[in-house]
Amino acid sequence: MNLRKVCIVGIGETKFGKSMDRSITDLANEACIAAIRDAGVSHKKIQIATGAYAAQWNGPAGQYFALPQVILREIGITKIPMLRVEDGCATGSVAFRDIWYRIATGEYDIGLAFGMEKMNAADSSSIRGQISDHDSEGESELGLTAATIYGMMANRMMYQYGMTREDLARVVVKNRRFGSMNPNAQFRDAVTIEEVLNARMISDPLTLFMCCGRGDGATACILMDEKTARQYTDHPIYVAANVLTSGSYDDASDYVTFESDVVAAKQAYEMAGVGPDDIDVAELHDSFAPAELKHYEDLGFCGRGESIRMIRDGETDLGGKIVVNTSGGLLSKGHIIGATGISQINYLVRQLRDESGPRQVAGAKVALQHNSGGFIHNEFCACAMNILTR
Amino acid sequence: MKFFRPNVLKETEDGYVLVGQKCKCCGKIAYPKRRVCPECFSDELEEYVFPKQGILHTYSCTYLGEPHLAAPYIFGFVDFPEKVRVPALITGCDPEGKDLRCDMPVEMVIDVLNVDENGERIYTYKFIPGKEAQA
Repeated sequence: MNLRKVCIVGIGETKFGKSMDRSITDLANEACIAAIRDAGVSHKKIQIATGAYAAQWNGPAGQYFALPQVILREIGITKIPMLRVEDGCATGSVAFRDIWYRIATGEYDIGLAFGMEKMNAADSSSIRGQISDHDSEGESELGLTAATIYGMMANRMMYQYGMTREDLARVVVKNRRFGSMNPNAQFRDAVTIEEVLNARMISDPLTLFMCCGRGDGATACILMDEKTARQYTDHPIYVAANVLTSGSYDDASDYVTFESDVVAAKQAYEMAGVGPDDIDVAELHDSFAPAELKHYEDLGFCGRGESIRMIRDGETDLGGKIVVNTSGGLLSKGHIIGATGISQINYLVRQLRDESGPRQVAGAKVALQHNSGGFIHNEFCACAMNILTR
Repeated sequence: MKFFRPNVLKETEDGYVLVGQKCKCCGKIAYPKRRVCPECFSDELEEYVFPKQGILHTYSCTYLGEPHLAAPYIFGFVDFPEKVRVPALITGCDPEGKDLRCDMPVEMVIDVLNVDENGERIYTYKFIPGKEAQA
């Protein structure tokens, strides 16, 4: 299929954190207004909008159906087609993909993708206690939590590759240092290896600091086809690849790799015509520390078992080969489910625009975004990936 | 006895065992039972009984766990030679799993999962370190 080139022209987001005094509509309005103003486009020119909202916490918080329309009515965006998408933790990326695809195919020229979540509306125990009958093995009733998923991954990586608890802590130290330089991050204190290792144990070997927090916030971006984008900016950021895969759930593979990630990376590199060596900067789904190391290997940043060397040698830190999670990652920002995917994209847009201040990767030209969504049995349900170029 | 997900268990002369399905057309073994063979989509399926012994692929001792279970508890993946991976609680070991290691043999047992709202015990399958490992 002949797809048109699609560009990111405007980005915006709120600070991530606890916002109990603000409505989800207010948070999403702030992000959408910022993205529209950043693009320099009239809000009346937007032809299509897709909102990302995972809707896991809306019990006590009111009626959240048709949320995109509810939010965009407030800022005068009406009448156009709008829909809400949900795909677990990859929810934001799926909204982005929807708008990308509709512009790439020529259906529309100007679109808005946005994502939001107010996760502090629900208390932690009610989230942990969400038990249902949809998974056939009944693993959450048997005790599987999000942290257990990654605790098991870390244990297997330690057994198979000689990874240490310190290596896991190094991921947190790197990302929290970046987070300390990001005014919109939720957790802004840099941490040491000792502090990470001495924090409360959640799911062995993962301590609290190796697990991302949740929170409230919103993100948005404006996409256009290349021709339209050129009317608004001299420096559009191109979506060189957009890929979405689902899990394989292969029981024969070692629990240190997910086929959904390997295949997504292969497809994304092919679509963009680049390889891992061409990537300057990446935002990887670091919901838990071992995941970032697994992704280095699954995305071909290094060979099997070599993620240990990458993190020890600072190859993914400023000055390294592929700088990972300069936003601070989910470990610093918190994982605001609906907002995360577009947040990752927006931080990479800033890198490619050379607007990242002390976190800037000098001369960044090619960026990779990776967003995992959901988990069932032994693998992520979804892997969303974008390669962006300037 | 009241079981959690009783469809995965079957009582035999050898006690309770885990059951799944084997496809009569392509031979694919799956756990738990499904409506069709996920490989070839056939609905000509027969019950398949798994051995009591498996291999602990990986595990994690969880301290902040599901609220209906007493923490800490150990959750793991148990692999069978049929290329089936079963999620399971691990018991009969150090309470923090310090005597566990990846790829060690484990053996299925029946144990209490938790207690329901009427105070009745709910049972499930769990795995303990295998005889080889205990020796």
